[in-house]
Amino acid sequence: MKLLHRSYLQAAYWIIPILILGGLFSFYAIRYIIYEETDEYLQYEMERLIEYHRTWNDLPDYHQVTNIIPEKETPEPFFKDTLILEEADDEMVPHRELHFSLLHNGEYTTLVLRQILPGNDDLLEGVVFIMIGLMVLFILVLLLIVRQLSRNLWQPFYHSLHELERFKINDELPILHDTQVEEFKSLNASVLRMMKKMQSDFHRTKEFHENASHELQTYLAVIRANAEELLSLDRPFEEGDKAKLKVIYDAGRNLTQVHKGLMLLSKIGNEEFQTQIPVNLDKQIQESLRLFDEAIQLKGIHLRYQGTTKTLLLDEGLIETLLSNLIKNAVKYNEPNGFIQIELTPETLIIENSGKSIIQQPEQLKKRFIRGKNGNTGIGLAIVSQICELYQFDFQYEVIGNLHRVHIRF
Amino acid sequence: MKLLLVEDNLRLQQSIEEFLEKNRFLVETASDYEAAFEKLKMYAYDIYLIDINLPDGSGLDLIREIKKDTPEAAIIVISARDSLDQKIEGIELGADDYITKPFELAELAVRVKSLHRRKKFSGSNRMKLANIELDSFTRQVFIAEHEVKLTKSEYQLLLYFFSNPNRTITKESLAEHIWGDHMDLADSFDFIYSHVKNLRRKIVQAGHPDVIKAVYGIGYKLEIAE
Repeated sequence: MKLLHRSYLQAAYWIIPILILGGLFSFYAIRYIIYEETDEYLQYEMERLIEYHRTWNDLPDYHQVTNIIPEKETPEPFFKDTLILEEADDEMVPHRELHFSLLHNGEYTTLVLRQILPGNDDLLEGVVFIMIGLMVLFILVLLLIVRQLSRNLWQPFYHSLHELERFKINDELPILHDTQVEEFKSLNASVLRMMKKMQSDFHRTKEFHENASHELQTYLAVIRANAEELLSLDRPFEEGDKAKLKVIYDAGRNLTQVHKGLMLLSKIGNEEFQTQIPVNLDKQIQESLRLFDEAIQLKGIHLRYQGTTKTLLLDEGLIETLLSNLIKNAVKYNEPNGFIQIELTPETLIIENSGKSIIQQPEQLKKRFIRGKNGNTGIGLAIVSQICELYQFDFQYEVIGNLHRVHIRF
Repeated sequence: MKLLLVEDNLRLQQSIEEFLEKNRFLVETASDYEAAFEKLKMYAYDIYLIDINLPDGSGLDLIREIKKDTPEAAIIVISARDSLDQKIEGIELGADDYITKPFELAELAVRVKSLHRRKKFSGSNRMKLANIELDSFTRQVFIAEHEVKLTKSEYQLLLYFFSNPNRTITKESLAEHIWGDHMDLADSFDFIYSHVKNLRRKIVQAGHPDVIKAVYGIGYKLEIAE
């Protein structure tokens, strides 16, 4: 059912009780007014007759009042409802009577005034007639108003709906019409936000699948080929065969590493790290450096660290991952007796280290799985890059001759 | 030592079981929640190895049950998910240690044995293999009653060897034991090599035969006559 039809129907449901209530109200209101007016008229008549009597000391004629009852006293005038048979229609018709007394020639006389009232059935008939007329008018106006409203007011909604129906995940995001209506504005904004999230989720999942299948397949192929060879041996197992087992073992370990890295990347991309606590970067860097203390010493690397207190609001685990990845890289790709220089200022973090010059574009290294010569999965920088993106840090990596420099602007 | 292993993957269950039995544990297995529940209600074990994700329930509930009956029980949680929440929940429920799949069996041996020592001989934490004595509480090593000074990494390596005597241990698993997630440092094997070299030298200098043997292309082995 269309929104428009639904609106008509809903409105119609409301009309019925409103009409019934309105009818009842009109009925009683009209009846009340009639009584009021009738009583008023009778009251005037009474006063006129009393005045006449005072002036002329004469009782009115019979045709002027309904009844003259001699020798009867009514201390206070009173109204009375009565039904009288109307001969012509052969039906009982309600009348209003006013009884009052006059002192005439030393004797009380009660006079009765009578006025015909419209019957309840007549009244009802009139009310129903009016109501039906009103209903017809009301429905006509309603039709016009709802139609006009839905054309004008709901137009942005129908436009958005139309765009959503046509939308495919690979398309550009649709342009939803600007509107002044607060509700549509927020609807459009929410829808667009969700679509954006959906699209980026889709792309990330796709990318993940591509990366995963590429990375994992390689190792799986190695495992299968070597296992197959071992299985098809037609001689007893020899010491030398262990080399093949070792290949399988290494591939298995690499799979674990790749898997971990991929999972972390996905989690960062999905914004699963929502905790935000103040982290002292200076302290965190020193802790990360401690992790690689031994490696730095063994390699004879000269380490210089210059830090100021810098506190950021972010996830502690992620910043630890970011720092240890960067420091690990600086250690891993360093040369014996090389150097690492780390500088933390309130605005930037700079890590410089000596290392081999590389041919690859440093920007490329930020992408996933661009491999170095020694077969390292280049996932470390990809993770760093993704974390920086999450916190909107500016991340730059450059290689100038033998100098590698990481530059992060908070 | 009686140990209950709750693990739903039968292949992994079997290899853990075989491995632990070789290490002289008495291993009972359960592959789902119900079977595990039944066993832990009927018998008492020294150590519980519990996988969190079971087909018909959560290992966390099993930990609750165990802690209800025997609050001092030794429990190690196994989980495939590297999720911090589960780890925290497990530890809060009273688990003593947590190990993430995939793991090296040698690493499991270190965890199980050190947990066992902690629970069993509270106070004395000495292990003796050949004439080398290792105190896991004070982190001291003695050869013929004389203390041998080891660096932190050398001590960790020796402890790893002690938990896995007569088993070839790959360089990778040694590196992971010391550096954890950062073991993929390009030269970490060189570090392992120099650490092991120093460790062997210190043992020999203390007048003890060289018990750590290199296994070509793979790693090392602590050889002790059984």
